[in-house]
Amino acid sequence: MELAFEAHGNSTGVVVIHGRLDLMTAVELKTRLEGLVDEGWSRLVLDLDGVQFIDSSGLGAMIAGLRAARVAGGDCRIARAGEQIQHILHVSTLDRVLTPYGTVEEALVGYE
Amino acid sequence: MNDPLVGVTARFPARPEGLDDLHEALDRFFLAAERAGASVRAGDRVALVTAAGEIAANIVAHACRELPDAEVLVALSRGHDHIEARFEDPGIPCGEPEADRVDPVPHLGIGLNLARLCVDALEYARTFGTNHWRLVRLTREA
Repeated sequence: MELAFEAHGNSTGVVVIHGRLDLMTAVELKTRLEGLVDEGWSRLVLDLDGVQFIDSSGLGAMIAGLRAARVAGGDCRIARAGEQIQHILHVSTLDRVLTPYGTVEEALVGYE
Repeated sequence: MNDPLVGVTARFPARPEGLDDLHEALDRFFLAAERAGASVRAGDRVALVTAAGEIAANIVAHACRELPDAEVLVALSRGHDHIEARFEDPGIPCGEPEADRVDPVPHLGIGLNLARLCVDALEYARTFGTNHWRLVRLTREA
Protein backbone atom coordinates (compact mmCIF):
# COMPACT_ATOMS: atom_id res chain seq x y z
CA MET A 1 0.00 0.00 0.00
CA GLU A 2 1.16 3.51 -0.82
CA LEU A 3 -0.32 6.55 0.82
CA ALA A 4 0.09 10.26 0.02
CA PHE A 5 -1.40 13.26 1.77
CA GLU A 6 -2.49 16.52 0.19
CA ALA A 7 -3.52 19.45 2.40
CA HIS A 8 -6.61 21.41 1.37
CA GLY A 9 -6.88 24.21 3.89
CA ASN A 10 -6.13 24.27 7.59
CA SER A 11 -7.75 21.07 8.73
CA THR A 12 -8.83 19.37 5.52
CA GLY A 13 -6.76 16.89 3.60
CA VAL A 14 -6.99 14.26 0.90
CA VAL A 15 -5.36 10.89 1.51
CA VAL A 16 -4.52 9.22 -1.80
CA ILE A 17 -4.21 5.47 -1.36
CA HIS A 18 -2.86 2.87 -3.77
CA GLY A 19 -2.82 -0.90 -3.36
CA ARG A 20 -4.90 -3.33 -1.34
CA LEU A 21 -6.35 -2.60 2.08
CA ASP A 22 -6.30 -5.94 3.81
CA LEU A 23 -4.79 -7.91 6.64
CA MET A 24 -1.31 -6.82 5.61
CA THR A 25 -1.92 -3.08 5.38
CA ALA A 26 -4.85 -2.32 7.68
CA VAL A 27 -2.79 -1.56 10.78
CA GLU A 28 -0.59 0.86 8.85
CA LEU A 29 -3.63 2.63 7.38
CA LYS A 30 -5.30 2.91 10.78
CA THR A 31 -2.12 4.30 12.32
CA ARG A 32 -1.64 6.83 9.51
CA LEU A 33 -5.24 8.06 9.59
CA GLU A 34 -5.27 8.42 13.36
CA GLY A 35 -1.90 10.17 13.15
CA LEU A 36 -3.22 12.69 10.63
CA VAL A 37 -6.20 13.44 12.87
CA ASP A 38 -3.84 13.87 15.83
CA GLU A 39 -1.89 16.41 13.76
CA GLY A 40 -5.07 18.45 13.27
CA TRP A 41 -6.29 17.09 9.93
CA SER A 42 -9.74 16.20 11.20
CA ARG A 43 -11.58 16.52 7.88
CA LEU A 44 -10.29 13.82 5.60
CA VAL A 45 -11.17 12.53 2.16
CA LEU A 46 -9.83 9.09 1.24
CA ASP A 47 -9.23 8.92 -2.51
CA LEU A 48 -9.67 5.21 -3.26
CA ASP A 49 -9.25 5.29 -7.04
CA GLY A 50 -5.99 3.36 -6.73
CA VAL A 51 -7.35 0.74 -4.32
CA GLN A 52 -8.19 -2.57 -6.00
CA PHE A 53 -9.42 -4.48 -2.97
CA ILE A 54 -10.62 -3.95 0.58
CA ASP A 55 -11.44 -6.62 3.13
CA SER A 56 -12.96 -6.36 6.58
CA SER A 57 -9.58 -5.42 8.05
CA GLY A 58 -9.35 -2.49 5.64
CA LEU A 59 -12.90 -1.49 6.46
CA GLY A 60 -11.97 -1.57 10.14
CA ALA A 61 -9.05 0.76 9.50
CA MET A 62 -11.25 3.24 7.66
CA ILE A 63 -13.86 3.10 10.42
CA ALA A 64 -11.11 3.78 12.95
CA GLY A 65 -10.12 6.85 10.92
CA LEU A 66 -13.73 7.95 10.73
CA ARG A 67 -14.15 7.53 14.47
CA ALA A 68 -10.99 9.51 15.24
CA ALA A 69 -12.02 12.29 12.86
CA ARG A 70 -15.49 12.57 14.35
CA VAL A 71 -14.17 12.61 17.89
CA ALA A 72 -11.99 15.54 16.78
CA GLY A 73 -15.04 17.31 15.36
CA GLY A 74 -14.41 16.42 11.76
CA ASP A 75 -15.31 13.65 9.36
CA CYS A 76 -13.77 11.07 7.04
CA ARG A 77 -15.24 10.62 3.59
CA ILE A 78 -14.37 8.30 0.76
CA ALA A 79 -14.21 9.12 -2.93
CA ARG A 80 -13.80 7.24 -6.19
CA ALA A 81 -14.48 3.82 -4.69
CA GLY A 82 -14.34 1.01 -7.22
CA GLU A 83 -16.84 -1.76 -7.70
CA GLN A 84 -15.39 -4.16 -5.12
CA ILE A 85 -15.23 -1.44 -2.49
CA GLN A 86 -18.81 -0.35 -3.15
CA HIS A 87 -19.86 -3.99 -2.98
CA ILE A 88 -18.29 -4.63 0.42
CA LEU A 89 -19.59 -1.32 1.78
CA HIS A 90 -23.10 -2.27 0.68
CA VAL A 91 -22.95 -5.84 1.98
CA SER A 92 -21.57 -4.71 5.33
CA THR A 93 -24.08 -1.80 5.44
CA LEU A 94 -21.14 0.49 6.17
CA ASP A 95 -22.20 2.66 3.24
CA ARG A 96 -24.56 4.21 5.79
CA VAL A 97 -21.61 5.77 7.62
CA LEU A 98 -18.98 5.86 4.87
CA THR A 99 -20.93 7.33 1.98
CA PRO A 100 -19.01 6.98 -1.28
CA TYR A 101 -18.58 10.19 -3.28
CA GLY A 102 -18.03 10.06 -7.01
CA THR A 103 -15.17 12.53 -7.03
CA VAL A 104 -12.73 14.03 -4.55
CA GLU A 105 -14.13 17.46 -5.33
CA GLU A 106 -17.65 16.35 -4.38
CA ALA A 107 -16.36 14.89 -1.13
CA LEU A 108 -14.58 18.14 -0.30
CA VAL A 109 -17.74 20.25 -0.72
CA GLY A 110 -18.79 21.64 2.63
CA TYR A 111 -15.53 20.89 4.38
CA GLU A 112 -14.11 24.41 4.23
CA MET B 1 -22.66 -28.03 -10.80
CA ASN B 2 -20.24 -30.59 -12.27
CA ASP B 3 -17.92 -30.27 -15.26
CA PRO B 4 -16.13 -26.96 -14.65
CA LEU B 5 -15.53 -24.89 -17.77
CA VAL B 6 -12.39 -23.31 -16.35
CA GLY B 7 -10.26 -24.09 -13.33
CA VAL B 8 -7.22 -22.56 -11.65
CA THR B 9 -5.42 -24.07 -8.67
CA ALA B 10 -2.70 -22.41 -6.60
CA ARG B 11 -0.89 -22.75 -3.31
CA PHE B 12 0.13 -19.80 -1.18
CA PRO B 13 1.93 -19.39 2.14
CA ALA B 14 -0.39 -19.01 5.11
CA ARG B 15 1.10 -15.63 5.87
CA PRO B 16 -0.20 -12.11 5.12
CA GLU B 17 2.09 -11.76 2.09
CA GLY B 18 0.57 -14.94 0.72
CA LEU B 19 -2.61 -12.99 0.00
CA ASP B 20 -0.77 -11.50 -3.00
CA ASP B 21 -0.66 -14.99 -4.49
CA LEU B 22 -4.37 -15.47 -3.90
CA HIS B 23 -5.21 -12.28 -5.80
CA GLU B 24 -2.88 -13.30 -8.63
CA ALA B 25 -4.69 -16.63 -8.82
CA LEU B 26 -8.06 -14.86 -8.89
CA ASP B 27 -6.85 -12.58 -11.70
CA ARG B 28 -5.60 -15.61 -13.67
CA PHE B 29 -8.89 -17.40 -13.11
CA PHE B 30 -11.09 -14.59 -14.40
CA LEU B 31 -8.76 -14.05 -17.36
CA ALA B 32 -8.87 -17.76 -18.18
CA ALA B 33 -12.67 -17.69 -18.00
CA GLU B 34 -12.77 -14.72 -20.36
CA ARG B 35 -10.45 -16.44 -22.81
CA ALA B 36 -12.61 -19.56 -22.66
CA GLY B 37 -15.66 -17.53 -23.60
CA ALA B 38 -17.11 -17.90 -20.10
CA SER B 39 -16.63 -14.37 -18.79
CA VAL B 40 -17.87 -13.62 -15.30
CA ARG B 41 -19.88 -10.45 -14.90
CA ALA B 42 -18.43 -7.82 -12.60
CA GLY B 43 -21.03 -8.22 -9.86
CA ASP B 44 -20.32 -11.92 -9.49
CA ARG B 45 -16.58 -11.38 -9.79
CA VAL B 46 -16.35 -8.82 -6.97
CA ALA B 47 -18.61 -10.95 -4.79
CA LEU B 48 -16.37 -14.01 -5.12
CA VAL B 49 -13.19 -11.94 -4.76
CA THR B 50 -14.57 -10.35 -1.58
CA ALA B 51 -15.64 -13.67 -0.09
CA ALA B 52 -12.42 -15.45 -1.04
CA GLY B 53 -10.36 -12.61 0.42
CA GLU B 54 -12.21 -12.89 3.72
CA ILE B 55 -11.79 -16.65 3.96
CA ALA B 56 -8.10 -16.44 3.08
CA ALA B 57 -7.55 -13.69 5.64
CA ASN B 58 -9.32 -15.77 8.25
CA ILE B 59 -7.10 -18.76 7.48
CA VAL B 60 -3.96 -16.64 7.68
CA ALA B 61 -4.92 -14.63 10.75
CA HIS B 62 -6.62 -17.33 12.78
CA ALA B 63 -6.43 -20.94 11.61
CA CYS B 64 -2.73 -20.89 10.65
CA ARG B 65 -1.50 -18.12 12.90
CA GLU B 66 0.77 -20.54 14.74
CA LEU B 67 1.88 -22.34 11.56
CA PRO B 68 4.13 -19.92 9.66
CA ASP B 69 5.31 -22.60 7.24
CA ALA B 70 1.83 -23.81 6.36
CA GLU B 71 0.45 -23.60 2.85
CA VAL B 72 -3.09 -22.96 1.69
CA LEU B 73 -4.55 -24.63 -1.37
CA VAL B 74 -7.08 -22.65 -3.39
CA ALA B 75 -9.03 -24.12 -6.29
CA LEU B 76 -11.13 -21.77 -8.42
CA SER B 77 -13.61 -23.01 -10.98
CA ARG B 78 -16.25 -21.72 -13.34
CA GLY B 79 -19.29 -23.85 -14.09
CA HIS B 80 -22.18 -23.18 -16.42
CA ASP B 81 -24.20 -21.41 -13.74
CA HIS B 82 -21.77 -20.66 -10.93
CA ILE B 83 -18.27 -19.78 -9.84
CA GLU B 84 -16.60 -21.51 -6.94
CA ALA B 85 -13.60 -21.22 -4.64
CA ARG B 86 -12.32 -24.03 -2.45
CA PHE B 87 -9.69 -23.63 0.24
CA GLU B 88 -7.78 -26.26 2.19
CA ASP B 89 -5.49 -25.46 5.11
CA PRO B 90 -3.84 -27.44 7.91
CA GLY B 91 -4.68 -24.94 10.65
CA ILE B 92 -6.72 -25.25 13.79
CA PRO B 93 -10.45 -26.01 13.41
CA CYS B 94 -12.69 -23.06 12.73
CA GLY B 95 -16.19 -22.64 14.12
CA GLU B 96 -19.17 -22.21 11.89
CA PRO B 97 -19.82 -18.64 10.74
CA GLU B 98 -22.19 -16.76 13.00
CA ALA B 99 -25.66 -15.52 12.16
CA ASP B 100 -26.33 -13.42 9.09
CA ARG B 101 -26.36 -10.17 10.99
CA VAL B 102 -23.43 -7.85 10.31
CA ASP B 103 -22.43 -5.38 13.00
CA PRO B 104 -21.90 -1.79 11.86
CA VAL B 105 -18.31 -1.76 13.08
CA PRO B 106 -15.96 -4.52 11.94
CA HIS B 107 -14.46 -6.79 14.56
CA LEU B 108 -13.26 -10.32 14.85
CA GLY B 109 -15.69 -12.58 13.06
CA ILE B 110 -17.20 -10.08 10.67
CA GLY B 111 -15.09 -11.44 7.83
CA LEU B 112 -16.88 -14.77 7.78
CA ASN B 113 -20.26 -13.09 7.92
CA LEU B 114 -19.27 -10.86 5.02
CA ALA B 115 -18.11 -13.86 3.04
CA ARG B 116 -21.41 -15.63 3.68
CA LEU B 117 -23.36 -12.60 2.47
CA CYS B 118 -21.38 -12.47 -0.78
CA VAL B 119 -22.02 -16.01 -1.96
CA ASP B 120 -24.95 -18.41 -2.30
CA ALA B 121 -23.25 -21.19 -0.38
CA LEU B 122 -20.47 -21.17 2.20
CA GLU B 123 -19.53 -24.58 3.54
CA TYR B 124 -16.94 -25.59 6.08
CA ALA B 125 -15.74 -29.07 6.98
CA ARG B 126 -12.88 -30.52 8.97
CA THR B 127 -11.43 -33.84 7.84
CA PHE B 128 -8.21 -35.54 8.87
CA GLY B 129 -6.68 -32.38 10.32
CA THR B 130 -7.51 -30.23 7.32
CA ASN B 131 -9.98 -27.36 7.08
CA HIS B 132 -12.07 -27.31 3.91
CA TRP B 133 -13.93 -24.22 2.76
CA ARG B 134 -16.22 -24.11 -0.27
CA LEU B 135 -17.75 -20.90 -1.60
CA VAL B 136 -20.27 -20.95 -4.43
CA ARG B 137 -21.68 -17.93 -6.17
CA LEU B 138 -24.48 -18.58 -8.66
CA THR B 139 -23.83 -16.43 -11.72
CA ARG B 140 -26.51 -13.84 -12.46
CA GLU B 141 -27.69 -12.80 -15.89
CA ALA B 142 -26.45 -9.38 -17.01
